[in-house]
Amino acid sequence: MEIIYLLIPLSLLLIAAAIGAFFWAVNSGQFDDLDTPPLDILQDDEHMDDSRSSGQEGDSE
Amino acid sequence: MLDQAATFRGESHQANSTGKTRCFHCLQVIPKYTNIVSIVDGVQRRFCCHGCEAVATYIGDSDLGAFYQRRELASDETVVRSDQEKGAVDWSFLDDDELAAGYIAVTDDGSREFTVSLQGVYCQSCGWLIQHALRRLSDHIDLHLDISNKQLFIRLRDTSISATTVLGTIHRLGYTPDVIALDMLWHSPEGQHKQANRAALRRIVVAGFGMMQVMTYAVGLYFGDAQGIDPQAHRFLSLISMLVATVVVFYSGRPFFANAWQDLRRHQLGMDVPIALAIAGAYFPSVYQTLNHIPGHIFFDSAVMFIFFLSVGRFLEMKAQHRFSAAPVAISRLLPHFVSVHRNDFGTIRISPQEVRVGDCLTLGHTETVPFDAQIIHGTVMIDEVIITGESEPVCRTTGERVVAGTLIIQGEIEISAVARWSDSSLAKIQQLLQRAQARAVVGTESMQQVTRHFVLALLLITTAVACTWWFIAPERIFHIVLAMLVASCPCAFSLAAPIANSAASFSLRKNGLLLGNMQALSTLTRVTHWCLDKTGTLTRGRPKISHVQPLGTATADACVAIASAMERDQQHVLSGAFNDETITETAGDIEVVIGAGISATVAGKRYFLGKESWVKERLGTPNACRQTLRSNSNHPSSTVVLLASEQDFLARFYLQDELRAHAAEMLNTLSRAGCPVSVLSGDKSVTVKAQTTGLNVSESLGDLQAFDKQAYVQQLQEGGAVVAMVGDGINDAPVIRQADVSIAMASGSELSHSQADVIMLGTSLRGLQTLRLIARQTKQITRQNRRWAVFYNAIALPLAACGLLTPWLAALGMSLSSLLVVLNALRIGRTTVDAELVA
Repeated sequence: MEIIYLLIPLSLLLIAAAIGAFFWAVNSGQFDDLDTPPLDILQDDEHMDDSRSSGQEGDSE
Repeated sequence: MLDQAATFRGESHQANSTGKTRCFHCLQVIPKYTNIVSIVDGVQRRFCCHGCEAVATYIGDSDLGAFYQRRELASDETVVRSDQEKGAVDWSFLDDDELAAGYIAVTDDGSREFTVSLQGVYCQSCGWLIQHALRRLSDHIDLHLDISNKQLFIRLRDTSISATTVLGTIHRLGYTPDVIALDMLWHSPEGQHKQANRAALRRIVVAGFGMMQVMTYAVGLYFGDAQGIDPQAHRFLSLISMLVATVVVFYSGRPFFANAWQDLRRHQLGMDVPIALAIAGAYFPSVYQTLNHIPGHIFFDSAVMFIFFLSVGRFLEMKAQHRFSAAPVAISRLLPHFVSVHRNDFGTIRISPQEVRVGDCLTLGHTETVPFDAQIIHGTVMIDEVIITGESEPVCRTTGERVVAGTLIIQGEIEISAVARWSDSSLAKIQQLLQRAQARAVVGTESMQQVTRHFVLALLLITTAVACTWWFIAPERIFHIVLAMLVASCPCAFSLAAPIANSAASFSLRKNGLLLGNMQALSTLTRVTHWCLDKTGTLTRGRPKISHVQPLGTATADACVAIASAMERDQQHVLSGAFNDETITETAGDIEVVIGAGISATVAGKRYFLGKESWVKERLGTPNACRQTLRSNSNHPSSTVVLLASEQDFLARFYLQDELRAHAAEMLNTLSRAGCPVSVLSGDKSVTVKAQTTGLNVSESLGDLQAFDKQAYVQQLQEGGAVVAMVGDGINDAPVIRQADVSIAMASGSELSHSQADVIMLGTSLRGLQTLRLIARQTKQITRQNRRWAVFYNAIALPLAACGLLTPWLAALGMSLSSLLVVLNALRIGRTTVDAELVA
């Protein structure tokens, strides 16, 4: 069981690092707006541009 | 296939199920006779106005046509506005470095940063459009759009484009941008909310991680106690627990201690006092025990758990509050940032509306906002005073009359001269009124904490008494017993009772399109004895319809409506909307509008007059044949009467009436069944109000009321002991909305009154009011149940703990379960709907 004397402080260091990373994310504004970014991913411009040009072709026929 | 389907859907939007043709850009029904056609992306599209056409053409030419497909995918309800017709806003002051300094921050590397608030942005599609149009201007532009706050942060990394170009581009897309002053950014409520939000998130994460760790160690300690742990490992785990708990208690728990300390300094026992006490009660003795190697249970896990759960609860509450909280800054946002005025000794100078001096002169035209209280030197205008009076009908103002800051010119041009400094202006006065009324709200919340205060006080006294008793019986057990008592009876469940019920209520209200800005409002709602409703825009839709046509000559009613519709088709006047016969095909030519009186136009070769009775008569003289009918029916109880005449004859009289909102009658019936009198308060003419409310379950309807009259009326009711709820819209309602014990604003009203009201209704149906009452009642009921449970639990647990029968760990478990029960009970709020209620 002596190993806990090493593992527990180690886990605390990891947590400190995780909290540090989270603080950085919060301070750089990543959590200010939780509504917009999840939808940004749905906007792939290539696809939309393609759809527009193919739509144009369809219409001109 | 998919792509074609998307394009096809775009087509189908033009002629939707109702058969009416809709504008390609804004999706509004295209008015009859309008034939504005343009090629967008190679496809012929129809538009409702040239503004929409210009926007769509611009979007198409900029290769951003995907916007329309994107919008398809987003929602069917999206309505894009085109404010193009409002005329270009003057942003040129941003080119002047000195004036721009307050709006644009220049960073060390020379890039310019500013934030723009956007009106007319409703969804992702709008955001996509704006971002893509702007990125096309330059590669050296960084954007971050915050849809929920409708704010766009812009960083220009080189000087190739100016801020003016950026704003102009956004405006060309059909949105209304407004650059936000730098000092407003962080000092504004939004800025402060952002900071509070960040701080709360940091505290929650620290508490969350800490809680998981400490509980892991606690498991080791619990089992270790049972199975015989190595004393050294036990000490190690205790010390590590203490380390983590110390971080959490002093970082995440700080707000509780700070609030409690503030309460104590004001000689009060607030809600945070027991929480701080419980945290301290669990933490400090455990520290003492750990450091002095005293065997026994330690409570670091409890302390950390309190903090985590309470922080999350507070965070959710705060988020809800932020979203709907007051934004008094909105008042000054109504005004332009700068105006060019003529001042006698200085010539033409550029000032902000707040710097105005009496005598400053200015010429204002179509769609401009009056920047200060002024007198008209010259000219006549139709002016929209909805901001001040809340009534949607524009009024006519002419030479010598006064105009008020914040009002909008709809038609005509005037030259004005300032008559008041900013501090004396109506808008500033309203702002002051709001602030004064707001002070009252604080007093209200304190009464809610009264009960908690007594509870805490009683608890502390009992604990002290028990401790004294044990001093004589068994001094060595005091510490454990006091701790068990504090933990067992920790008023967590009690202090959670109201907030958790409020959060649950707020959540289910949101699902029903109701936004709760002030938690206090719910409990007040259940005590309301008198309801006051505004008329225009609240009880009614604010859109007049023809209620009755009285033919005066040979022409039939339908023919008269057709002629009037043709004349009014392209008019912007509020009443024009009433004449919307879709079937006719004639067009009107040679239109002449007399502001504040009427309109004359040629339809199918004949000249017609439509407008106020007095004006039409003046234009014609009264033809003999009609005199009799004219006189006999002059007292029809309707809101607005409009007369139609040809050059020879009177044709018809139109009675226009505002349409009632959906479920208005049902809602009024429910209220009267509940025994609450309903008063309708309106700024409209008394006759109109009376006519509108006939047949409705209304106990009193009053017209001709100014904002202050309404406030006085409510105050009078309150002095008579009534608890008054006010439903209204418009900034003019703002004073009365604050005066009322609880206020509800309709979302279609001006944004400003939203921010002041306790509850905001998003829907157009008045059924929301019934849902609101129902949920308020449930909330009260469940809060009461929760409180009773908390008292009951304490009544059982306290004596047990006091007798030393309850070990501290059992006490902690009981406390947690009791809190959990309170939370689960609160989740029941909003399960019953209004329909279920009506059936029952």
